[in-house]
Amino acid sequence: MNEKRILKALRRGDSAALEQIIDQYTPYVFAIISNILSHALPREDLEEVVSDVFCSLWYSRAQVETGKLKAYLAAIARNAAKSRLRRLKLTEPLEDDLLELSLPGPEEGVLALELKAACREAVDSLGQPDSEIFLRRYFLYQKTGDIAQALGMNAATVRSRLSRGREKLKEHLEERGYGDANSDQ
Amino acid sequence: MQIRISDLMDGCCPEGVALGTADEQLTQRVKAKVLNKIKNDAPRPGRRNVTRILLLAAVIASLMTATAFAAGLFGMHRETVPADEIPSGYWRFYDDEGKLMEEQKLVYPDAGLIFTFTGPDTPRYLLEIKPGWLPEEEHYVECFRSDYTGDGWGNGFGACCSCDHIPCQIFAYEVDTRGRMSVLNAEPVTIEEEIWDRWKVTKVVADYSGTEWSRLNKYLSIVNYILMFDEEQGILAIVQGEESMDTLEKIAQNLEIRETDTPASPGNPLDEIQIGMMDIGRG
Repeated sequence: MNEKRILKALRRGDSAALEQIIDQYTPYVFAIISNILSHALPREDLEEVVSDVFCSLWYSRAQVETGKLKAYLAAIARNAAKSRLRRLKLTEPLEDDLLELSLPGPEEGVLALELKAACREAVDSLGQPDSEIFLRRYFLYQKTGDIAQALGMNAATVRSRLSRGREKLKEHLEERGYGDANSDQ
Repeated sequence: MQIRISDLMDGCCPEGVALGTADEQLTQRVKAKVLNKIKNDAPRPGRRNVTRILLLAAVIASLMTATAFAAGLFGMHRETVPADEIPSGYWRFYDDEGKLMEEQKLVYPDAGLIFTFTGPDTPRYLLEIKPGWLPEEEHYVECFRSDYTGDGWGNGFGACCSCDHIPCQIFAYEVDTRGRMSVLNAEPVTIEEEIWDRWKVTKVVADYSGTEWSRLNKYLSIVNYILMFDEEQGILAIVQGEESMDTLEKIAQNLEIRETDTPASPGNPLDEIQIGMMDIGRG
């Protein structure tokens, strides 16, 4: 698929372009939605959320940057799934997701964006395959067993690398003034 | 405090990560749902009743410079933030039953200006915009003329999808009596106020050098803003970018704005979203 050409057609309002995108990315979007919501919704409802993601793409098609379609879809999918969880008053399905930070000041707004930028740097600095493992776990919400299978590792190795990644993330944030973490879980 | 790692990962882009297994039946079911939804929602000629077309520019007969807007006289009010003050506010998310689910404190250490807009006590409808004139550069053709409804109208435009700089972005917002408050997180270099027919216009040259925002948008330095507010109609249009003010002004003066028949979602009152950011950036 030539993304530039497809996006150009999509921006013109060509639904055939949307169909091509659905053909290519439905498994990807479904996997993200399923990772986050499968414990909360039946499969039929998961598919409904997936279709909402592609509808969102259609309605916001003017904003998609060339070369970033996959990331854009991933972001919409995550947001849609997390929003659904919030409406259901359920928590996200990651049990090792919390990081204890004492922030130097108000953490929201611009500072929250800076914190996220620092997190991106930290993940990039992990190198392969650890950065991919981290992304699969905390961005795509994959189970450790599934990550292990996808990358040809055993689950214990994945858990170990995730633990190391969390430590490095904590150190990276501390070095940038985000405080002394008491513990991470 | 405890922060979710998954929340911090919002801005990460797992471009190269493969996920999911092909499932033709699933894909076909999803495709059918999507096409059905967008078909039913599609703004077709004759179905979408554009109740009003509110033209800027092409119909501007008089363009006069106002010496100053008296504070509070118009629905657009501007306030300079003293150097030793850090504005803050709260964003709150409620569930369908009205229970507070999430609260974020918003802090703006680099705030230079705060704008407050108040609109009329009439039903508000979603707006669409269409640039009547754009520069000839490639990035405008590629990205800026992106259709939203397929007929040239859209709810927001941003020139240049792939380069580091952001030449121009255009947005239009409905404003009602609940109001709208926005902060500019930069140092205002110059501020000019004009009246274009019934549009109250404020032109700001803003310097982002050394701000938190410029650390996140590395190439950001001087950005020009044109804020146009029609108090009677409750419409705020913003043309902003790193283009020259003359170019932005020409874009603004040729901009068309129309009100659709789709009611705007009730926004939070001013005391709920106390301050939002109006800074240029990518979503």
